[in-house]
Amino acid sequence: MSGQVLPSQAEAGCRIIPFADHGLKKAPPLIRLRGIGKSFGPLRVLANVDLQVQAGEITALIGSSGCGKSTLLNILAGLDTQDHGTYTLAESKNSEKAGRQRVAYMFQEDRLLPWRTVRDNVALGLEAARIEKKERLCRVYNMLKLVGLEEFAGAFPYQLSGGMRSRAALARSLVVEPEVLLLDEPFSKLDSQTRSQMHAELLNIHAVTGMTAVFVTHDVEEAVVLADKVAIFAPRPGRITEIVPVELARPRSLLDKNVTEQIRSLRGKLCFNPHPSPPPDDSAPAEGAGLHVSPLKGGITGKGCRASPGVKRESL
Amino acid sequence: MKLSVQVARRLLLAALVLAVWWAASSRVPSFVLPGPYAVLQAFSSLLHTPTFLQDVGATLARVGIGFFLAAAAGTALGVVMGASRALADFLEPVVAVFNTVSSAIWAVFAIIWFGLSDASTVMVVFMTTMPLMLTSVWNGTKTVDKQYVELAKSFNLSRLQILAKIYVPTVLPSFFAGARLAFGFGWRVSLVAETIGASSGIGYRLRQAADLIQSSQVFAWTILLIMFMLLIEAGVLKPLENALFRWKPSPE
Repeated sequence: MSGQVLPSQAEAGCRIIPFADHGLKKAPPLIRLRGIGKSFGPLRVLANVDLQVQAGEITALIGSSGCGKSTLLNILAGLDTQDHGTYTLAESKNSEKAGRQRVAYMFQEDRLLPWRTVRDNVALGLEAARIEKKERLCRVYNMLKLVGLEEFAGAFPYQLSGGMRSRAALARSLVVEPEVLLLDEPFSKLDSQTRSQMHAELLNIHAVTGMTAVFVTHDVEEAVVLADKVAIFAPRPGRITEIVPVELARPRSLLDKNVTEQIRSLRGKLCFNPHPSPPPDDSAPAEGAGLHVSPLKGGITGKGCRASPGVKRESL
Repeated sequence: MKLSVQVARRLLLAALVLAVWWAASSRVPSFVLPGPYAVLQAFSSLLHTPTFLQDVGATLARVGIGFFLAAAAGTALGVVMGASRALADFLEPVVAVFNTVSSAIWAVFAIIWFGLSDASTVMVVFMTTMPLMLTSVWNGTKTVDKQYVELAKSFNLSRLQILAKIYVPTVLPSFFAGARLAFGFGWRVSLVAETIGASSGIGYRLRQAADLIQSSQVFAWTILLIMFMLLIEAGVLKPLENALFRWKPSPE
């Protein structure tokens, strides 16, 4: 698995540069969603979603299963289109380089192609853009280095651990140097230790590349540790009920009182959010018809959300 | 298991088979069951027959052409049926019918249509192996993972790239399994076809030997064919499979 020629950066002339270079602080938002609505047949999945994301910002979308978070992510990725509203991605000068994609998507499952080595999996997006082999390899190896997988370039996915597969999937999303990285519960299947490693990895990459990230999660801690702001979703139809800024210095430790305080407060908002009844006009069908609504595993409702609003929870 | 133990076991088995064969052949007339030595003699005289290479070549060419055409047509139809559900539902009974028709019946039709010619054998090989290839490839297309297609779309792969980078690698194992099965089948039915519909080739020589009750000749051909198939299996198919499917975890 080793033994392949590792092209040196200087020789091939490709280096990691910040994917997104946003000079002015108060630039217009990179992503602007206005009144996004989406239905699948009679089922309203998203209703009137507004969201603005600044360049370089990390945004978490949090809420129970089946509240349309993933659909919103698909719309952001261009894999799906909204029925109503507008989605604009601000113009940028940085998207001219070949093999560069404005938006990349990291799915919930790693979706590594089993018949390709790690190297070839990571190269997929560059092959699509017909980047010539030398530059392709160079960029692939840069990303593998960034996620600490360069020794496993020649390995097949079945030979990797869960954490390594996640890293490979991350490298595959990053190699197209996206301005916006979308992540759909990307680390939810990892054990908690590997998950926090991946969090640190992601923040490190964010610091190096300056990319914008939007991620879906069930996990309040994950949202607070990573995000600059958290958009809280309510289901049926999916909509954003509140946007909570997280103004804490990084790195954020779960031992830090400010961090735990923010987690506690966010949990409170999620639990006691008095799910307002859906907007009046509504062709929406009866609860959960056709929609997969399952109780959360240890996520939001699992941790004492049934408590009545007056009860203070001691444990966190 | 140690290699030496394995080799010893195989040698023991071979010795046992030879002993039983020899014992049995010494008790019956040689046209019923020729002994090992008679077969060996027939084998060596077979190799020195002037038409030997021509016969083997003729059979190989017929199997090869029939198999190649069947692989091409079967793959194309399998892909089309995999792509269109409606067409698959429409054509499925035809595939079922083709799979149930005996190769001997195809041989009879081949003689009626093509007479004693190469085309007869080619047709029989084609008709028997094409449904096998079609079914394998069609089943393979059903295993294409929609999630991989979605992934490819998120990276802006074109339809042609999705076909080449997602569909082809997914279908390849089924194609290979089908091709292996079909080639084995094609090889065997070609002999059946040649016994009645050809004036050269291995099957034709087998029928001549049967007409003249030259049992040792039949045995010699049989051994040759077995050796040939084992050689293809170990020398071509296995290495090819290992190279193509390195990405699969080994079963242990």
